Amino acid sequence: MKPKLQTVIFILLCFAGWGTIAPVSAQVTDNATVSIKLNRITIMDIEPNNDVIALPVTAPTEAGLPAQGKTDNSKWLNYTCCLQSGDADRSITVNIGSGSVPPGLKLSVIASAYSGTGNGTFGTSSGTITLSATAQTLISGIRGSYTGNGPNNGHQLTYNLEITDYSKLDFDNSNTIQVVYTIAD
Amino acid sequence: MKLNRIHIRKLLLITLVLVGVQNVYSQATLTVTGDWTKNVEASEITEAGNDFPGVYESSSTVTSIDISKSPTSELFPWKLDVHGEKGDWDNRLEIWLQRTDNGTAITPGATITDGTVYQQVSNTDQSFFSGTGSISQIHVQYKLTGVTVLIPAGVLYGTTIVYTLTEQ
Repeated sequence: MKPKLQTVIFILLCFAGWGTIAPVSAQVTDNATVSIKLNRITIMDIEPNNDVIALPVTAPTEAGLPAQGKTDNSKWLNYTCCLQSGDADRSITVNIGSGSVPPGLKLSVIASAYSGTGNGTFGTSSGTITLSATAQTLISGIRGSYTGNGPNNGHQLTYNLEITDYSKLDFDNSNTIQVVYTIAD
Repeated sequence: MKLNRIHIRKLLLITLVLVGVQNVYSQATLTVTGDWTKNVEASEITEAGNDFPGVYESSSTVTSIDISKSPTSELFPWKLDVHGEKGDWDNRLEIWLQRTDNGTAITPGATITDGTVYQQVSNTDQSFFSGTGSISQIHVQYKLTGVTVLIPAGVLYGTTIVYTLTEQ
């Protein structure tokens, strides 16, 4: 009987010991995961709209004076780029898509340095580009960035129509030229 | 009073069983289910020049939390803390979370308080919510802020949200 009694006592002690053995503030953990992935994006547009720009050659007011070319700076280029780390920089090219510049005239465009409410790594202007059917780089070095939307955001475009050869001018010659901007790597 | 070997073995066996039973019987359990992955599509920017909206929310029930303890009739007090362990991450991104319901009480009279307003997940434990008794299906919603096109694309940025249940 003695061993049995000891066994019973031991069990009782074990039960009694629960309160001290059991953790006072036991902790357990479990997890969940939150993840996000961004996809590439490269978009561009012309603000405030794609409406036609008129660049009339102005006749002189005094005989003997030259006719005047015309400039326009009403358009802006906006873009948004989200790139992978290993992606090449994005560039914007410009070319004449259809139509042609009348004889005796030269049409050029220049993109300003970036200004506006955006953020990121904006492109750098290549300076004045004489427009032709061949695509030429207007802005280069664009990386993750957004220019802000609308006029006064991005790169201001200034078109300049100038007379290069008076002998080839035709006073009644009016052409519509489609200027194409392309953003790509 | 001397114990023979058989009795010593019996005592050891009983002790081990009791300790095991005690742990199973008294330990509260925490079960967290449901991850959230946000895939930000290029189509979410419809106007050139704009950034991503910047803030994305999960569904209100994306993660479910069960807190229980045997016996389920016990109104034991507890608190739940939370912190984040960043994996591949961009520090412009911030994770917020909130509790969106009270769950389903298993213990009659179970209570739950706090956690119903978005709080930012940091890398150290912060109090999320607390209560008493066993409750299942407590739902949690996440919010990601700071999402911008300036963050490199093509990377799966992830953080492990660690929930810690403490019996008080």
